[in-house]
Amino acid sequence: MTLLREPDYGTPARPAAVDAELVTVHVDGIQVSVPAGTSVMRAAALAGVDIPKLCATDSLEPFGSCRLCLVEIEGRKGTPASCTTPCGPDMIVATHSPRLARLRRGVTELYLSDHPQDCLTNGAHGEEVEGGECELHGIAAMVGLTDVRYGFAGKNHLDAAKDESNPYFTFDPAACIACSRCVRACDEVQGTFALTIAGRGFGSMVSASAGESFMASECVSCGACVQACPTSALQEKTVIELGPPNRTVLTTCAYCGVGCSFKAELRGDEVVRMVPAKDGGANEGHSCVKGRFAWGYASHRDRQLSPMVRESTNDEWRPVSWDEAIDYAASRLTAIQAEHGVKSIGGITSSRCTNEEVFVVQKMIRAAFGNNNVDTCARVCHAPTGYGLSQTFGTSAGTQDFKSVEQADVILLIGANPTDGHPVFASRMKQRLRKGAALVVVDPRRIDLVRSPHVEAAHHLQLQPGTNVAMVNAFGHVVVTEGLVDRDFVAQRCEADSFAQWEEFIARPENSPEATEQITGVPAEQVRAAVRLYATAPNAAIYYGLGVTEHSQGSTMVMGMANLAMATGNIGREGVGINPLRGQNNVQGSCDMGSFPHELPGYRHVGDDTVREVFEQVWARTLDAEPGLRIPNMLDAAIAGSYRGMFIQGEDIAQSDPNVKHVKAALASLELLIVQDLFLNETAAFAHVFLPGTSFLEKDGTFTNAERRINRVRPVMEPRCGKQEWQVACELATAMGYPMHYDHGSQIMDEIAATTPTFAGVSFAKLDEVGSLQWPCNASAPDGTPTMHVGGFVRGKGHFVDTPFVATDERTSRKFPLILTTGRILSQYNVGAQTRRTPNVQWHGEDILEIHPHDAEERGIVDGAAVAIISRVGQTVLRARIADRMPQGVVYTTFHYPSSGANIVTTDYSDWATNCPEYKVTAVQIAPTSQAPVSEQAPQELGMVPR
Amino acid sequence: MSDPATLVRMVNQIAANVAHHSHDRAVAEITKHLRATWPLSMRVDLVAYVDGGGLDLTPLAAAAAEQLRVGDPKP
Repeated sequence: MTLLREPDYGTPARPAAVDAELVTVHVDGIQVSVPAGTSVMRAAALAGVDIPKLCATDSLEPFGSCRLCLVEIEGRKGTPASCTTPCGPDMIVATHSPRLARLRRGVTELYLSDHPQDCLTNGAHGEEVEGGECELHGIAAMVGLTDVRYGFAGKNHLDAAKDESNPYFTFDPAACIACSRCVRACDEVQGTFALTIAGRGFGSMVSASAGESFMASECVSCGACVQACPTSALQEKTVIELGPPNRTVLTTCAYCGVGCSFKAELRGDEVVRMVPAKDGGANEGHSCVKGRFAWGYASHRDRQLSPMVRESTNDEWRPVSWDEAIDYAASRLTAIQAEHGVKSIGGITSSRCTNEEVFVVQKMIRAAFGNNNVDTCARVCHAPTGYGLSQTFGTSAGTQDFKSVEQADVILLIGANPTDGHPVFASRMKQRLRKGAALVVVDPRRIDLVRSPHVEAAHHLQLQPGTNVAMVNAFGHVVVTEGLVDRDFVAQRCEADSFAQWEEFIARPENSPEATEQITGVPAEQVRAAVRLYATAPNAAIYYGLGVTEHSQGSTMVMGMANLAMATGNIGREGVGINPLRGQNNVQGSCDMGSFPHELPGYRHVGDDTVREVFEQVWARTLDAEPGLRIPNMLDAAIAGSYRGMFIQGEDIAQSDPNVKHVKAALASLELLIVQDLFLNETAAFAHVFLPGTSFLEKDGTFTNAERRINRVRPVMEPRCGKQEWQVACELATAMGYPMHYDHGSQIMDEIAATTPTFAGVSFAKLDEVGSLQWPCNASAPDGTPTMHVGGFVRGKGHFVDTPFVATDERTSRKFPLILTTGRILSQYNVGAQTRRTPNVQWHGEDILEIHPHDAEERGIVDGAAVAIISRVGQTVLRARIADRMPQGVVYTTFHYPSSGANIVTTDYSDWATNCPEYKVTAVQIAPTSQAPVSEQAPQELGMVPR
Repeated sequence: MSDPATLVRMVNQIAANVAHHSHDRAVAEITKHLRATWPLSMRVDLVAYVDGGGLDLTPLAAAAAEQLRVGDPKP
């Protein structure tokens, strides 16, 4: 594809209600009908008439400052700006006349007189001009300006100093035309309000925060300002270094579960930049610092591109050919099975890999290994979501698309921190909140959304970690006892028996806010007020994250939220629902693809003979009807000696999983560990075979995001290691005696569609045609399903589940008086394997322990001091940050750096139903220490890197 | 052989979360959950643990383990 230029209609579309009246106007003699409220500029663009503009772009509300988009309207005086003038009935508009041409040339001439003549030029209107992308020069060409009468010697900004502080983009005030597009993008799109125009008149200047550098300011480097800038004032450094791109590949981000669509823009074969795609269903033209800028890890020097083997982990790695590595792995796996049985090996799939890659690995394990010992990293994040929503609604997925939040009147945000974890969705959420939706935050920490520019939560229920279920029960209690049940919805859509039982259960006194206050620490009246807000809203939506799932009652909490949504009728239409914010890019997809040891693709139990027969026919292999081992079971079995060989696809369990000491002991017990990854990660230290993987820039497949949206991942380059990852799994299976072969990733999706009803209508061809599809996509829903459970639940009637609160066994004590919770930060991602290999380390160079001022003072801890974090299973040392966003008694850290050892202190406690680790509740003690923080110690000193 | 302490902790935790049901229903729920999500090897180990005295199992968990004897395939 050549460089893709998306059309810019100048001002945003005005949503037309179904029965809304259209307004018909005539633009340069062309008739066009548009929804009421549409600007003349947009109507003209829709009619194919290009009006010059600089301060307008269709991602932002009109501003009317540049005075270039002037038009003449019959019957009206003057030359109004077309961007700020709404269409009127039968309006007759002229966009070109001698008067307009004169005015535009005059304005353009003034702009150019204080603008670098060598500003990168490449018109916004499609004209290819050597050098770059300055819309001002494009406009100059458009209006026929060849000369600037004033010259360039007058007072100007051409010598203003550049701000090069941000690692990814430069701000050059000389090229700035003070159009405010960047300021408005920061306000309207991103919602950070970090930019302003400082000064007046000639002194007007874009300013980050209060005259700070971009890096020192509140800017979150989402890139919205760079994208909005019509000149090269805000410019990606890669464009400056490599030159403007000349071709585009449409693909999907490989970071969080939002799954943003991106235009990978290349110059030749080199990626110049990633630009969010305007028609991307998940992100609609927005991005965050990770997806927009932090893709350099793909070419980092740490990438391992050659297969390697070694007999023992005491040996040096030996680079070998693909054939040798695969033969070696296959022969050792086969030998282990011959000696220890068919169930002595297994594997883990990765949520960072494509659906096709995951499908092939689970197929390899079930068909070639001959057992169901397959699990996925979703075990440690959203397994409770799958369990809870399956029990209540009948399927293991969120109910809405992201756009649905625009219809929500109340947003109940539980255990999620979207501005850090899911920033592009957070921006969408903030847009809705600024338009008047109310927000209830349920979180121990005062996350940014509790109070940020133009957003303030109506209620922040700052509960004790580990008490979610008590809180959701209090919500249900108020709904039932205050007459807030949507009786019609329940009667029509839900099981009468299970509702009646739940109604009796939830109305019990022990579930009242007054009773649960003793558990949660949240005043009853505050809870009651929040419930009333949620339950009486026309549309109320629940969004949640790992603060719900990573608990000993994670599955119970998911079912509790489902009960609440059903009882209040908040399911089955836009603006409502239960919405898990998934951690990794393909968590949803990896679960869909049959990565759980008890479920074949499509969440169908391995014990179901009918389902198994479908796969047995296609795969020509008898499949095991018994569930396999979960990840923690695998680790225990490895230590016990019954599980001896393991294939790990793109995961780093020696860093990401809890109680790392136990994980490492298990890995060290294995006879054979095969790791497929981009890098020699912590887990690879225990491996005998290393198979190089592919970055998202090399993959050819699909990701499925948190809204069930299946997006294409298209390669911008050939696999740097020589093979697609699914090819490697196929070759390993074949070498073990089970032939597996596909010519192309599309054939894998065809097999998924043929065996999995919810994917029946999905193919690469269809995705290429329509852009993306949300499953279920089949004969009943050929265009996919943006909103689930419309008119009826997948399981038929909605099922209520009683959800008694059971306190975790992980308790505080005199010895361990504080609760540690873990999470992630905006600039880093998961175990940091990708983001630590980008300039994002400039924002977060080490994991920090956040502690409440009172807890710090009691322990004599000052800001920046090294502190020991001691739990019942281990200890580590981090630098402390005193933060009043922490509640007293709770401390917090991230786990982005292996050296920090956050998971050295987390325990084996887990969700009762799914064994998702209880990362959010670890009893600890914090104490000042003379030891240096682990970030400053050599890894060997800490015993964290055994070899 | 699974670590007995882990097995006990896991099944007791499941039992605690369904203990609000009647005894028979709770036992049935635990058994159903174990059969749906635990590999046969772990279920066999649990039964063997009960045979060895079943120390530290809650009554509900022990009753569910007994139920596993009925209908589980032989390993």
